[in-house]
Amino acid sequence: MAVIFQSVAQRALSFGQRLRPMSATALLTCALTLFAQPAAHAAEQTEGITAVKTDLEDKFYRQALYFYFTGDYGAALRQISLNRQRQGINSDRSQLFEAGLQVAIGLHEQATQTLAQFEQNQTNSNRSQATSATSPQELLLIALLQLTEQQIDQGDNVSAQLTLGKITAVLPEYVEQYHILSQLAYWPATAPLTAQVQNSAIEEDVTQTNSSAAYIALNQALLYMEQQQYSAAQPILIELKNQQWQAPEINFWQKLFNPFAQPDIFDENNELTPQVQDALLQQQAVNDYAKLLLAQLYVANQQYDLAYRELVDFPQQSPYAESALFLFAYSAQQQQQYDMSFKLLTLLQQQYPYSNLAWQAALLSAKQVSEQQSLAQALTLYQQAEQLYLQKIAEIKQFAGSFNDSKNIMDFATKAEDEQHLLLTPKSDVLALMLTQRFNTDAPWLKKALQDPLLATDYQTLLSLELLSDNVKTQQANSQWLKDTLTLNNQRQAKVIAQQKQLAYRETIQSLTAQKQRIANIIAQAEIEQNPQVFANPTQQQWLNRIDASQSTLNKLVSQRHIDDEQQRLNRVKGVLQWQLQSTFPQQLWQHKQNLKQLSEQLELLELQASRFSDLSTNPRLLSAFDERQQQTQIDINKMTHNIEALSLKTSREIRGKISIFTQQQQYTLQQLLLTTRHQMANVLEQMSQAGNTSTPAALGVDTASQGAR
Amino acid sequence: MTTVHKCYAFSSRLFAATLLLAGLLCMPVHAEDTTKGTLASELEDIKSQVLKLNRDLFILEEDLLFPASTQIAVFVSVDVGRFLKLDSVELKIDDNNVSGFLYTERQRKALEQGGIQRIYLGNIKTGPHLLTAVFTGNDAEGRTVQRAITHNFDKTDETVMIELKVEDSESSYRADIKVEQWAL
Repeated sequence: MAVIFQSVAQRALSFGQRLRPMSATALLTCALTLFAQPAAHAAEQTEGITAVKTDLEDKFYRQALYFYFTGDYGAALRQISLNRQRQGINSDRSQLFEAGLQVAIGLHEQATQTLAQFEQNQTNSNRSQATSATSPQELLLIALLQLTEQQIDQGDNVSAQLTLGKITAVLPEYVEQYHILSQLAYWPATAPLTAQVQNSAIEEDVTQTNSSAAYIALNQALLYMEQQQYSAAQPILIELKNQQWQAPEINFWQKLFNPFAQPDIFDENNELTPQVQDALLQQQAVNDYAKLLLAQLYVANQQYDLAYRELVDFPQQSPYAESALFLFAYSAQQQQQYDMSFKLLTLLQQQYPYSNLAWQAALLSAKQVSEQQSLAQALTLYQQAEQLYLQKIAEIKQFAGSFNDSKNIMDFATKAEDEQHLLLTPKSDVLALMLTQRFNTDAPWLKKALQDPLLATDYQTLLSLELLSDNVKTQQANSQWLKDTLTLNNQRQAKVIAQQKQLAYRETIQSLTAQKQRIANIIAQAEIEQNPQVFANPTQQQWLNRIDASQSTLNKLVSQRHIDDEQQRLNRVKGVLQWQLQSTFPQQLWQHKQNLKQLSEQLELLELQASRFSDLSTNPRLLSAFDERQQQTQIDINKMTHNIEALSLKTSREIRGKISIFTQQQQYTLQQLLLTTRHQMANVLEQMSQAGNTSTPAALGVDTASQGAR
Repeated sequence: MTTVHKCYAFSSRLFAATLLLAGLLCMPVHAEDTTKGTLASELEDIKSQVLKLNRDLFILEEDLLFPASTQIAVFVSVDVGRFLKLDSVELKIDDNNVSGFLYTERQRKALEQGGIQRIYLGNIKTGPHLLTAVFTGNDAEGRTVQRAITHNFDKTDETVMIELKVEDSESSYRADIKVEQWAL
């Protein structure tokens, strides 16, 4: 039923629309400038650092928005959840956005909770009475309407009624959607329509004729027909069959909550987008269905000529062609256009071999021949019909057997990509929660069974479970990778701790500190004593050593010979060297003090680093906490895998049960038709026998004519 | 007489069947099957669990691989994007290439519609660093243009988050890159 609302509209909030026209000259100038100096731009530095306080709510919200616009709804939802968990961000728009995403990926219960929370927040705060496109009330209305739509789509009409009950006021542009959803949720009872319609300044702009209104009218006509109020239904259907499609406008929030109600009408090649083409097809389907209902109305009123005329130009490609063909043949028959009727019934049997109507057509055409032509030909046709039913009974039994014997019911599937979903969700989506496939099959009986929406939904559930299973496998791989990473980290930690023990870095640091202290003492002593020799460079030190050695030699020789001259020379050398040392002493002292200071700082840093390292290496909880979290996710994965398997099994059982009922129903229908055929054959044989007794062909003709008249 | 009656009844049945069939094509789906709601609910529950698991693993991965004390995150955003249709971004930190991103049409539009993309998440040491970003794209005339920006920042024990903003400049008819370091 979601198809009903896949209306196509121009996107209301296109960022592109914000772009203002720009003069061609300016554009050219700009482009030329940019083109002429690419190298200069490449090296350019445009430091424009903003120093204002960051609006983190906006930043993190827009991250989620990025994922949404790229079609990764799962990641967008995860981001919103992360924003709340890590940053404490839970703004109104964030909540609505989350609800919209939840609705879009089918998390209805969570969406309901989120919306309830939002509504509560709105009640607690000052309620805005604004009716702009982004007013909270309007957003809530959109969310509730889309939630209702999905609940109806899933056949959960009770929940849909509850959701509709939460709507207290409806803006004019949503009245039709509200109306049709109410019709569907309460069908076949009359919808209560309790919500109050608000007045709006934009009321005049609301498009009166759109697909929603068409469906409302169509449902109304159908109700009239069921109540046999044909005169009320007729004008509605006549109007509907001639109606043409017009694009309604859809705003950003409608697009968010219903991702399919979004497209622009024309694509880049100025051609109709697939969505618009789809909408046009839907309009055609509405027109066709109105025609079909109108024809049925005429038939019900025994206005077979009108029914015949109504259906004479019915499109062959219409989804209702099968019913229309049967009704057309029936009308032709009633119009006594027997040739046409016979051909149409034959065509119906050829084109729809598994259709109930085609089976009935076989009987109907035999009946017609028995009345209008010869009993012998009729008998042949009855025999053919009998063979057809026997063959179909055999086929359905075979299908039932093979279906029961199949281990995996998905073996019957031929998966087809859903084009609409494909447009939204990229294949590489890491968190694929939206189904991009639609279950399809080549098995004709299963195809027929899938006309039951509940069975089709069950198959979609199975496909969804497959998707989730694949997703969980990806998570499993991710979890395993994290586990391996943790193992590697543990090993690395153990290795580092072992190295740490071998290195004895604490003793090394202590030794270095002691050395530093010794040097500090030397420098301090030198400063007190004003002893420049401490800072002598290697050459000067060499000189000092030589002077000391020479002095020592002179001291030994002092008793043996006269050394005044040598002593004077040595003193001169000593004096020069002392002068040199003394002249650079202040600089040397300052330099060494500075070096000592730097060394002290380095040692402090080293000690801090050592302390931090010691804390890290001796903290067993650091990695074990990660281990625990990883183990927990593994438990979750196992549980989830189990749940998916259990639900798949349950769904498969449901499907098997439904298929079993379906095959029994089909067999029953075929048996009934077979029985009727045999009764009719008996009648024909009886008539033939009577005709044989009288042996007068004229009598047979009279009998047939009288039956026809009756 | 019996035959005629049967014929009439037969035709009526056929019509009724047709009407019923046509009606079914339009009628809403009724929640006849009581297990239907349960299945849908269970499916929804599992879907929700998968989402939660994904979030938990995501957090675990970030916490494990990118602790706040070493974490740096770089984001890209576009304001309007009239003068620069973004094609690719290259990132360097301290002259090391750390990230490159080639945009699809859809990703570019996501940025132009207000999304912020986290383009890089990594680890760096505490202390001063230099971030360099080179943006390549097409101007309004479709010609290839480049914009580059450098940004000096200090890594502390807190996570560093830097946003690179492509902003249209109405005065110069060109796009400029601005840097915003988020204050956490």
